[in-house]
Amino acid sequence: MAAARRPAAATPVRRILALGGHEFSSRPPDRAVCELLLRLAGERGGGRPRICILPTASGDTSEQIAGFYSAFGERACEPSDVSLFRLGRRPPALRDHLLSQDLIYVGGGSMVNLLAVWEAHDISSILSLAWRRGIVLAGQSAGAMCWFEAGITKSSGRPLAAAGLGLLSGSLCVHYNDEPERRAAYLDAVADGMPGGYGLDDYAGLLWEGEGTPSALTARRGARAYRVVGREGEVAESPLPARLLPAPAPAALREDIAEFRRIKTMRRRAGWLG
Amino acid sequence: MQTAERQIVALGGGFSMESGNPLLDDYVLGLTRAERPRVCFLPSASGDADHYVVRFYRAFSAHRCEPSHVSLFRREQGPGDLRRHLLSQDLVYVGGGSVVSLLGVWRAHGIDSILREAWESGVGRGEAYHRFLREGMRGGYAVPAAPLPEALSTAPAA
Repeated sequence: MAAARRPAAATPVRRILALGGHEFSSRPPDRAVCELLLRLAGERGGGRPRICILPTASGDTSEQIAGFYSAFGERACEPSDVSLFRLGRRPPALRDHLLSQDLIYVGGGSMVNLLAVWEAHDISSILSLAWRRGIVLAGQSAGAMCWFEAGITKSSGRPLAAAGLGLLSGSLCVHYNDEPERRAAYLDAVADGMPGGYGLDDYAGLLWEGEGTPSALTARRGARAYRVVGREGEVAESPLPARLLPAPAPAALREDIAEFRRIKTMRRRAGWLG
Repeated sequence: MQTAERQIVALGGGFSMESGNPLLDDYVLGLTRAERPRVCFLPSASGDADHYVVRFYRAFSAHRCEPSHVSLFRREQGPGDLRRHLLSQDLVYVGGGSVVSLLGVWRAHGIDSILREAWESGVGRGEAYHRFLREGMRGGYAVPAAPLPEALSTAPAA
């Protein structure tokens, strides 16, 4: 019967997660962000999803790549990185690799350089195709603004507007209340006619799942997402209601707890009760 | 006004490949004929890798030249006016890495046209010479139809 056909199979849900700023540390808000990334990847890829970092905006710094592997290396996933500055002597199958992922994560850095290097390597069209195929696109800072029509970047020193890929309409400003000069430049740009959009504090995020409005998320109490709308030279800024993401205990700690429980169960079975 | 001599040196060695052998670096410093040449390092092709910048400053130490570098990934630091800075150099030293990424980033920051201007004018201040040094594109990945010749055709054979 026609009713058995699932529309999801024909048109995958297009998903983008934009994050205002975070690190790959073991602190609770950073762990909460990584859990969310794993969950989103797992919803597409099952128990062992494939997650690839594009650290292009940083110039492929070892620091960013090592941070990514320290966060995902020992989790149930297949992490990889594509460093466009260190492709080696043989051109790798970039397109095949990226299109085989469940989630592509874009790190922060220079938004202008990010888009310029992507353009030079023809990555932009691959990412757009990945998005249409339902591969989750995610990123923080420059790696979040790149999906919009425009963002506010400090790629040239002081904060200035720069064009993004335009998969999402409107604009995004990251590190919103963490960098007041960036927010001020954003509000000025929107007042001057740049398409409005969103402001994201560090540890706040917006998740697009299919068409329509995004849901706001926060990994730290007090971190907020804002809707920013310009009209006739005036700018209206309103905070969005956001869901607080849980920050589970670190993996190592979880294993310790599990071990403790196993021992307790064994003791109980042995009748030692203690 | 005196026309400066235009020079481009393409290297397959120097500090990036042979840290213990300073001969090629000494040679290019000598080409400037300046007592204390101004040397600017562009590590863009490596993604402005920290270790590469450090090795540059070790090889081109301040006792024999005036070294500087421009990091296009950290524009909040370093010279604000890139054009003025680059045009005031005696030697611009371009590090190796990915040539495709290099050209993408240069275009985004207008470095390609600044370097062309420096090459064509040949003059910074007074009789300063401009030298461009392009290290062999080690580590860059060679696409058969790479847009290199049209992108940076200041050198007859790029």
